[in-house]
Formats: sequence, structure tokens, C-alpha cells
Amino acid sequence: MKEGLKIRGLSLSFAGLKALEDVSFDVPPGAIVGLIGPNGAGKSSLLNCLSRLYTPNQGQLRYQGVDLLEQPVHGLASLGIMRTFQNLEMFPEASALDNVLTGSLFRHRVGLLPQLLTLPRARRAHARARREARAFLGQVALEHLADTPVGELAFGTQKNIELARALAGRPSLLLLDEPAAGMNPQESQWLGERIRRIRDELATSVLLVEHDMRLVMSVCEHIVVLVQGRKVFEGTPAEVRCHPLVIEAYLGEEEHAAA
Amino acid sequence: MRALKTHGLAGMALAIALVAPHAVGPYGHYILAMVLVYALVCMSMNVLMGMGGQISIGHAAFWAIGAYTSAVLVSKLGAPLLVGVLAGGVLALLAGLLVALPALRVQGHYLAIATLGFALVVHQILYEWDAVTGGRSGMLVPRPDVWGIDLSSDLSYYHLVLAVCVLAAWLTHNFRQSMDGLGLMALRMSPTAGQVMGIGRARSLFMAFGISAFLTGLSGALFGHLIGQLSTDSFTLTVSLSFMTAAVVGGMNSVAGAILGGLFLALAPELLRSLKDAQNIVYGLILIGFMHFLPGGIASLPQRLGELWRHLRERRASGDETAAVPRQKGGTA
Repeated sequence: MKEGLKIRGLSLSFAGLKALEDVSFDVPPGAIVGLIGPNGAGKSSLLNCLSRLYTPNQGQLRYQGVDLLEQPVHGLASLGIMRTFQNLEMFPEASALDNVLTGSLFRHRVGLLPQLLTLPRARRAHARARREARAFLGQVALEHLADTPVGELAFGTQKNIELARALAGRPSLLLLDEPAAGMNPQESQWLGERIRRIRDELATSVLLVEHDMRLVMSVCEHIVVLVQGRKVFEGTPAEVRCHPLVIEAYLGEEEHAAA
Repeated sequence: MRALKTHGLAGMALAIALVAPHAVGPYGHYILAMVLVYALVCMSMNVLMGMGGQISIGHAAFWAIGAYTSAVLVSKLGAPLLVGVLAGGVLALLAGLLVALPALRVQGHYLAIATLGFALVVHQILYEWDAVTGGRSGMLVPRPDVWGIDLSSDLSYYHLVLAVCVLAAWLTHNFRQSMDGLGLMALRMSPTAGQVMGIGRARSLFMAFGISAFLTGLSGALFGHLIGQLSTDSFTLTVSLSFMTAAVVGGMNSVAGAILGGLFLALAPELLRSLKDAQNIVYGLILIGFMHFLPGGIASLPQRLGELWRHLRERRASGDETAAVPRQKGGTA
């Protein structure tokens, strides 16, 4: 059995302001782990450390035995780590199909010269990548928008295309940053089922950052709670729901906000 | 469907290119050859600026490297013309890879300044290297036969330039449609997402600078043999800026745009000659005007007019009803 993701003693600060302090937890292979916490708890910062957009001040990040901190940003895709972003990071002028295709470019490498001369080798690889991308787009039921520039599409639609793009890389670890933002309860339930299916069918482990508690509680087997950059608790959804510190720090606030 | 349209357009452009020389005199042949020489430069700018979003105000340097390499090889070492031209492209390519190095670290204005610095250094070297380049007095560039075909007339030379141009257009079109081309454009649109998707910046930038410099080098070599003499005055900052202007004016998203850019660059001096030094001001105004009102260049004009037309019709048809579904933007932070 391969090792999953191991986060050890992760600390990150911006100009003296501590975003993360000594955070440690694991995402075992095939697990769906939730990462929750109030706004500013450091959830997105943690994902950004994992995708090497931020470099932590201290700590270790290992995935399948590889030290992530020694990898460049673009090296993570081939290690099997793909992600989505909280506020979308799309290629707005490119078509939906090309956006999804981008997620699989690293798997379909061909030399530059065969591509410039459109040799059969390059044409075949491109056709294969396109076919796959179309299928991934079909999985989020957006095949009919394949040729539409993504910038012209609604936020929720773009979120789905972003997910398809991440899946096109055939990740073994998927990092999702608030995938349900802007979705209604029905859509977010559908998303939950989809996340489970991704794990079950593709054996992908998932680290899910999400504010939608219903989604997190229903889909995650294990939940990590961050408050002000520190891990205050981790456990099963049932344990998390009852933990007084969590209720006070996070769920209480939610109820408070709902009232 | 789109491929058919592209092929149709390409065929039509080629037909025009083959017929055009018969409609003009010898000076017209010279101008037409110049249009294609400049179209090559615009193709190279399309790759670097249009696809890669990298600003270079030093492309005159690659042009000069191509021009002098070919001129020296052909005139001093007796190399065949095509060998000289190809060598000009290759040497410019190597220089392009060198200039890609700072692009890995800096972007935007800083990169622009780095390319400018490179161009100044190249200009100075060519100026001082008297023994090879003729320095201040410049050098004459012969135009030998190719495979027994006499190229001394501008008409026959025009056909050689056209052949190179068609090949270059095919290559840049292929690159735009390729997976590596998509990767380069993705990095321009979102460097963060592009890298997270596994696209390496270094590889993409080396490709963009390499291809762009290669095409500009070819163009420079063909330019030298066209005008028959070289002096460093042909490779100044003004020339670099005019390359950028032409690429923007023509349009940076297609080969068609590059050809329109070439037309602009070859014809504008003819039209603006009476303005003398004030020409630069006009170029500047044109550049600003296009970036503001028609960022897609002349090539995007049909599409823009079509959009405008549809917009007007929709408005008239819908009357007071909401004309279009408002675009949803942004979301919860």
C-alpha cells in the first residue's frame, strides 16, 4: 500500500502574521478528509502550501514518500496531485474543452518538432487527449458547451469545468477548495455524491475544504478542524459534531450567523 | 467547419499573393517582398506576445542577428543563400533562448527592459565589429542564385520570400493548434492554474522565445538579401517598437493578422514619409488607439462588426424586454 499525504508541523506566516501554526495530519490513500474552520482559519493557505504556491516557514509535506517542498509547482501534477480553487482559476478565453484538456497536457507529452510538423504521433496524442477531455466534460454534463469560451459561462458552470479539468489529470489526490460555494442544497448534494463516486471509481483520495457543513458531514470520513491557523481537533464527523470546542469555534458561529 | 474556413482563407491569401505582383511594377515587387518579410516578424510577435503574453522591445536584435549571419555567410564564405537564411534563423533562435533566461525570473516592464538591453548590446557589437559587419559604413549583401534560379529581380526573390512565409505560416498555425501552444496560452491566461496543471513555465517560455526569435531571424536574413546592403541603422529601438506596433495593428491571434501587420509595416512608411520625425508620434498614437479600441487588431474587425450588428439587432428586436441574460460573475469570497 502506498503512503498517502503526510503533513507534519506545518507553519506559515506572512510578514509576522501567523497563517498556520504547527499543523499535522494525514490524508490516507482513498480517504475523503474534510478541512473545516471559520474564515481566515488558514484552510486555503494550507492548500496553497500543498500545491507549492506558498512555501511554509516550517514543517514537512510528503506525498507517497516524496518531499513536496523539493518539487516545483508544475511538478505536482505528475505526482498525482490536482486541485480546484476557491475563486476559480480558469483560462477564460479558451473553450471549455481546451480548459479541461489543459489538465491532461502533462500526461500527453510529445516533442515540439512533431507538433510543429503535425506528425502522426503528435496528431494521435492530441486526438486522444481531446477525446478524453470531452469525456471528462461529459461527466459533468457540459459536453454541449465544449466550444464556448469559459469566461462567458456562469460561476457554477465554471466550477464544474474546473473540477473536470482537475480530474483530467487523473489525480490520486484531489484538493478541492470550497467546491460547493454558490451552489443550492440540491446541487451540493449532487456534488457530494460525485465526490464519493470519484473516490470509489478512481481510487482518488480527496482533501475537501468546505463551508457547507451538510456536505462535509455527509461525504467525509475524517475531519480536521482549523481555528486561527491551529488544528484544534480531528476525528470522525460524529465526533466533530459533538466536540465542545468545535461547536463553540465553528458550528456555533454558523448557527449564530443563521439566526 | 473551422478547418475548412481556415483552409479557404489560406488558399485565397495565397492566390492573392501569387496574382498581386502582376498588378504592380518593379518597385511594387520590392514593396510586396517587404510586406512578407514584415509578416514573418509579425508571426513571430504573435507567438511571443499574442500566445505567450511576453513583451519584447528588442526584436530588432534577432532581426539583426539573422540579417548579418546570412549576409556574412553568403558574402564572405560563399555559402548558398538558403543555408545563410537558415543559419540566420538558427543563430537568432539560440539568442532567443538566451533572452528567455531573464523571462523566467522577471515579467512585464522588467522583461521589456531586459529585451531592450539585449537589443542595445547586439546593436553596439555589430557597430563595433568592423572587420565582419563593416561597422559604420555597413556591408553589401549579394543575392546569389538558388538551385540555378536567378533571384536578381525583386519579382523572383519575392517568390522565394513567399515560399518561406507559407512554411512559417503553416508552422505557427500548427503551434497555435498544438498542445504545447495551448499550454503556453494557458500560462498567459493564468500562470497559477497553468503551473498547477503541470505546465512548466521554463519549457513554455523557451519554446515561445525560440520560435519567435527563429522566425524573426529568418525575416532579418531575407530582409538583408532584399535590400542588398546592411547598416546598423536598420536595427534600432524604433524598429523594435514598430514591430510591436505592427503586430498589434494587424492582430496577434492569427496568421491573417500577421499578414495585415506586414502590410501595415511596409506601407505605413510610404504613406507617412512626408511626416519625417513626426512619424514616431503617429506610430505611438496608432498603437495606443488600437490597444484601446481594437485590441484584436484589424484581423478582428469582421468579428467585431458582426458582434456589433447582432447586438443592434437584438436590441431592436427585444425592445424594452431585457436584451440578454446578464452574465454571472464572481461569487462568494
